[in-house]
Amino acid sequence: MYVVDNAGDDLAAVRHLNACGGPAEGRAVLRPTPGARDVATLGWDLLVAAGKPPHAARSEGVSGLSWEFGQAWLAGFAVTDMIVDRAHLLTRDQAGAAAAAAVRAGATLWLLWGTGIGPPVPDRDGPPHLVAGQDAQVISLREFYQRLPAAPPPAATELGRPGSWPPLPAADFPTFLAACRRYLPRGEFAQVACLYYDTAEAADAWLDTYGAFRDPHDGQVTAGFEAALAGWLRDSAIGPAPCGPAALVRLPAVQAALFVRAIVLTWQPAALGPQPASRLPGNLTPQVAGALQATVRTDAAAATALSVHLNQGPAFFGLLHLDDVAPDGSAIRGPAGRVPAIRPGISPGAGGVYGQMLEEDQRSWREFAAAEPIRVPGCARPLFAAHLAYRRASGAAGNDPYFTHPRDPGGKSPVQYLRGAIRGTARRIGLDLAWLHGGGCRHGTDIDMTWRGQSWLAERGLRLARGGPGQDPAITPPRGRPCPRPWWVSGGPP
Amino acid sequence: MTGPGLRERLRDAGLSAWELGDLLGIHPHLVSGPDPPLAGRPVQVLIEIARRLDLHPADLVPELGPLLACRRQAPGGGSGGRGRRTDALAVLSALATAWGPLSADQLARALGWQLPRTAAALAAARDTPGLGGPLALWRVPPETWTVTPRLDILTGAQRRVLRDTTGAADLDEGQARVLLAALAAGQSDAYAMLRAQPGWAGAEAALKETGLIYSSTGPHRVHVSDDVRFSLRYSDDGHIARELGELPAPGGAPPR
Repeated sequence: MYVVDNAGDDLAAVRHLNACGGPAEGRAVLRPTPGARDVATLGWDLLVAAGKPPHAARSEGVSGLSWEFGQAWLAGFAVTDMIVDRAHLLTRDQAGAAAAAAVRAGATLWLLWGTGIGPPVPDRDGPPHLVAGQDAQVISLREFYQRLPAAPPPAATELGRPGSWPPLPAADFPTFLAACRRYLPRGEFAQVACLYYDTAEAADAWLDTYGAFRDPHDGQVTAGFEAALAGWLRDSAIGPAPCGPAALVRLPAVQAALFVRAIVLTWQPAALGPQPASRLPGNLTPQVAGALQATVRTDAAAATALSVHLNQGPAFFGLLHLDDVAPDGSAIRGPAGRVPAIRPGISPGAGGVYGQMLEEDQRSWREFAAAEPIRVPGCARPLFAAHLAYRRASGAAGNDPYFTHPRDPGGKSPVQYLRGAIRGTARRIGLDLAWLHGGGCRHGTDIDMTWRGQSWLAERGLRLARGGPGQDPAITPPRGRPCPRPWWVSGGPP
Repeated sequence: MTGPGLRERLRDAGLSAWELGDLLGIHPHLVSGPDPPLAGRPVQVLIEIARRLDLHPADLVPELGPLLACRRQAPGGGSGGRGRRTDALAVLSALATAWGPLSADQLARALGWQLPRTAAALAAARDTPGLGGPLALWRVPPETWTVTPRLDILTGAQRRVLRDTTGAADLDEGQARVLLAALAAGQSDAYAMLRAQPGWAGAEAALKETGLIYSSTGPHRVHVSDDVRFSLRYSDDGHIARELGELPAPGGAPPR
């Protein structure tokens, strides 16, 4: 803990704090509300320091849990420095609570003492290092600037904007690269080809690692492979693409790599709108994750992020345990060994539209509980880490559910609560999640019982042919070593 | 324009709300119903709806009206005083909309004009070819009119390529099967046996039409095009370099 002697209540200190960054940079700036001398109000200030709007706790109905959620968000963001501006306004209790919060978060506490470290101020409790009874080091403002410099500007994402890419041909994957070669200038083709070859080689490596993807009895691509492919595309190949054009290059590369192994992944962009490529990358973008970080309830934020990332509702979210979520929120292990609830009212083996519902449930379950863990984009990891910290702080053990019903954590299924929380959160941040529409829409009963499939692949107009040519060994193409990329694309002569 | 007006325009455009939703990539609920909730939609969606339905954006979201400084165009029909140029534009637009050539009296009936005004508009369009942009007014004997693409913009070679160009080749499963077979066994007797399978001939013809495969020694042998082999990483880009006239530069530098 440091007490910064800011005797003049220097304006430059405020400027420096503004440049220090926020929770995303591992720093939280706590600005006590002037005149408020109770700990509860400082809890709301802590939420603001964690990036929440001032009235968010009240609008979400969790005003009484501001310290618990604030503490969880500090842990979720892995805050390393907690700075209290104008700390001389704190009461003894407030200073103690702030110090305890910093200790629990493992963060260094910096108290900017605006009245100088001198004799006690009348009506105040005195310098906080005496109040909290902890070891504290008094430093000057200049030393504070040196020890806690301003955060570096965010690194620009290379080629992350659509304007960074040339106009791309609309050719399907069998001729995509040739069309790029023929119709793009050399430099722009090299940019496209580098990404194309990189992605195709990554697909080769993943397919080699996966092993057998056909059922030896009927020759069909297995349902497990379909789910694993959806997960790989979502987390590694297509989903992380920073923009539509980048995804539009990656997709044909993956399709080509699959095709030479007799796996046909088709893309039907006709129903995706005027810029179909923009629909290919994952939905959990930095913008969405940033909007979700303004939510106070950690369960609502984490469930919405998971739903947006997977493009599915929360039907199976209740099966996740705390141990399934990586401490830093980077990965979520699917609950493969647990049994999902059967959709009520439909008997197994039903046909028609009910059979399609069951098939859709099974597909969602396979994607959720795939062998490979769900990789969470970096921008959204604090959301999952924060809820993990909240649950652990609530006393939950590793094999306790990650999501619970807030009023009956031990007995009631959280699914309906999560569905409402996701809908409310999505509405607040301006997202329309088609997979959470009502039953009539979701199951196609509003369009003459035409099934409207919803999955990560279907949301992007992608479809994997489960049958197809690979069933016939006579037409499996040769598996030679792929032709190496042109040397002027790879960066230099061989 | 919301409620019935939007529905009328959808009907005029021959679109259902579901089709429009599909075209725009938005959920159909957003454009269906008597009062579609368009005010909260992204700007791009509003722009696309306005383009698809030829609507002014302020007709979709009335609050945009004061913000948009662009001049509104009065609804079709029009009255006198708009000048020959405007009438000529209306005639050209009507001919572009019609299924086939129209006579002057058919045009007059469609536009609700007197015949002299229609004839004057036709004359103005004929006298000012620039009005039609890339379209030219053509007289179809004996006394009907239509618009066709101008012939003085594209070269003959460009027009020939356009005539020969087919739609984008999106593989279906049958075509994928044939293409894979061509890759795997296009030069062997196995391919001739595979051709007997049902549906094979149609898929093969479609692939040949799009240039993905070709036969040079008879239908029982097929080759996969160099473009496909390059895109699937079976070969390099030498054939395209030769086609583009790129010579390999001495010393290994990339050709410019």
